[in-house]
Amino acid sequence: MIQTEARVLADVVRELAKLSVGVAVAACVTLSHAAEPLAKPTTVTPTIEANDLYGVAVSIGKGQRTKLTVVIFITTDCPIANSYHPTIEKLRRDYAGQDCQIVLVHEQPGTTTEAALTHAKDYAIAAPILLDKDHAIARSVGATVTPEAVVVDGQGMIRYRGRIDDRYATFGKKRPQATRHDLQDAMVAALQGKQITPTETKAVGCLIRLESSP
Amino acid sequence: METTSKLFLMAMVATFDRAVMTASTGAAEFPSSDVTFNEHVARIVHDKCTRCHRPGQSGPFSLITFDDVSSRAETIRAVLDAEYMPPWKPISTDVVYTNDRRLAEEEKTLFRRWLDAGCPEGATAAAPTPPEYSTEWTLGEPDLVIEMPEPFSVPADGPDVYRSFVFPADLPEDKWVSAIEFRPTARGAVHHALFFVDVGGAARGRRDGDGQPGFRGMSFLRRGGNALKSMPENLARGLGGYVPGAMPNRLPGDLARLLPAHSDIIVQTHFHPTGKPETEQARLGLYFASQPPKKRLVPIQVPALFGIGAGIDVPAGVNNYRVEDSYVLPVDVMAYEIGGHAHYICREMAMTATLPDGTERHLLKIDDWDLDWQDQYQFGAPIALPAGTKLTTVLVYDNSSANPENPYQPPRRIQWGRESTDEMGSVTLLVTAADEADRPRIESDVRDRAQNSIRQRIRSQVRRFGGFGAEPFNGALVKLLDRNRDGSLQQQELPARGRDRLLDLMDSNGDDTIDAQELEAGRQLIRDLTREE
Repeated sequence: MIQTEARVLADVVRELAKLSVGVAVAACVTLSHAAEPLAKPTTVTPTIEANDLYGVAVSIGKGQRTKLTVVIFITTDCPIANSYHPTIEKLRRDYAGQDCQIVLVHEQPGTTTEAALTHAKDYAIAAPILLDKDHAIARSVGATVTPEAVVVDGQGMIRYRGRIDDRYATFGKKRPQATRHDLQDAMVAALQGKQITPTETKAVGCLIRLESSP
Repeated sequence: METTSKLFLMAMVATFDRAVMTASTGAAEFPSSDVTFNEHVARIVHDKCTRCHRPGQSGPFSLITFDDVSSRAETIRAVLDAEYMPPWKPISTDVVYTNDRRLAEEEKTLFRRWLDAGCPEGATAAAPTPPEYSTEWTLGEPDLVIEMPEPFSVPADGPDVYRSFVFPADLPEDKWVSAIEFRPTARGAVHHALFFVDVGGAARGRRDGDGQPGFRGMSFLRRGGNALKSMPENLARGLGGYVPGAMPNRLPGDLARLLPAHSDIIVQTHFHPTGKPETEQARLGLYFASQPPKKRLVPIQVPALFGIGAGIDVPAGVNNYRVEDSYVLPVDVMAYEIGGHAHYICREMAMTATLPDGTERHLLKIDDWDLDWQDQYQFGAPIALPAGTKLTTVLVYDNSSANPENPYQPPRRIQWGRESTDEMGSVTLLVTAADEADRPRIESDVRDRAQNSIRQRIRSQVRRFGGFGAEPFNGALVKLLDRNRDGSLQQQELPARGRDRLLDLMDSNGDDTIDAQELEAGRQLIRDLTREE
């Protein structure tokens, strides 16, 4: 009898635990609409290990191959993210010899390897590409927008998160050319061991629906 | 005992359920779970989004199915909140437009409630059938389809591209056009296009020397006899335009625009590079009226000729530069359609009609002008404006560094000009004379206004290029500029700062050279124009 009660009580506790997660998720959903974002991760823990579209192992975080990893979130059809591929490719080429890798991560649920390969060909993408099927990578580095860039150092510390540059001021407000190159500035500062300012900017683009299932 | 515990558990679950619901709906009076995609949201999406967001159209992705919409729900909420989508620039006044694409407030509320509820799909039985589009042409099979003779390559990256292409029509007889539909192939890259008539096919075969079809600029407008006199006429022959998301409209009733025999159509296209190379080989679908309209359309531009004579000269850093111009109708008219044109630093654009009895009608009011979404707005019902009505256009420009679309950082003085980094500004109202017998009167009145604005332009330019002085392009000046001594001024001989403007004014045949004949014609015209009055 006591055992049964204890079991039921344990069930209750378990259910309550699940529910509080539910409440927390619901609260997140609500809060994410408010102006003040939730605290974002400052490190990548544990290190992200994945194979890219071509079957090559990629790691992001402590123990990564290069001093810096720049993770940029994209989809095959976000027009703002797509318009940045020439800029991203130029960054990749310019910093390839400087112990820095750029990794692109797809965030649209249902993107197949085949579709991502076609997209890579269309936009002449040479960087490694990952499919983030359950948004695990976006969550672990705190990305919410495509295109949003996250700079991760060899200790797994997140050094910069935000826009690539300021070409888009907001939806439909595009500068003829960027006047601030926040990502490149952050990469240069991080490679030279200097302080990065700012460490966080607001990326303009399509929103990643983190709560959606793959 | 077990039962008690279970009851307790159920009670707790119920309590938390409510807590979850309250947390996710905020202050909503209704539980959000009553809003589902199939029952409520699909209908709105199909009505307001799918026309462009479907395969083969200008939207970057499809918005048709539950998956299409639910996976992009946060983005959709953001663009709705920012009033970026559906694209619609006029703010609400007493005037209603037939092509208003906006979501109604209750539709926005439904969409937000659906998102707050976690985007439930709802019962499949309730799902509406997605709209079917029987042909790629919105208005049905056109009477004539003209394709660009050659493809144009749009680069993957770099600044926006403006290019004019000749669509050869060369029909043996005059035709009346009641609608035009434009089908670009580089759909993501084409941001807008304007259609003009090229009388007699004067620009046929013209191309810039870069190996690609088409040409830069709008110098074709100065063709057909005298450059200055033909510009107003050629502009009045505009056939409308295209922006993504705009539904091609047939003109109301029997109204139609003239496409004269043996003319071509020139499409000036504005491209935004998309990140990958694109190929543009558009088709134009023409819909002809079966007979000439009983009344002819008259475009009234205020200020005239895109503001050529309105003295648009915006000092660097000024964020509130205002240009105002008005025109008093000489005859009773019916107004059908309105649209505006300006470039990147224009912020506000409005045309107000003040009737003789003092009544005001806000025909167009845009408080966040965007060159990318310049559109034609057709009135829900034609608006009667009696003689004596004053049409006032107000344009406000923001040439500060806080304007992200400012082509110059730091800001520079920006004046009227044809380049997208210069400025223009005007609102065009399409009318017919209430009594067709009055049409010649309003047509000549509008033409005089255009001539006057050119006259004002020449005066200000003559003052500016002091050297061209009282006797514009006098012999001594031409000798000074004519470095190769061939009696003509080649493009590279013209002072760089005024080069495009001078070619626009003087180079009638569009060969980028002002030859002796064009110099004399220009001198004569300037003499004529400044002597009149």
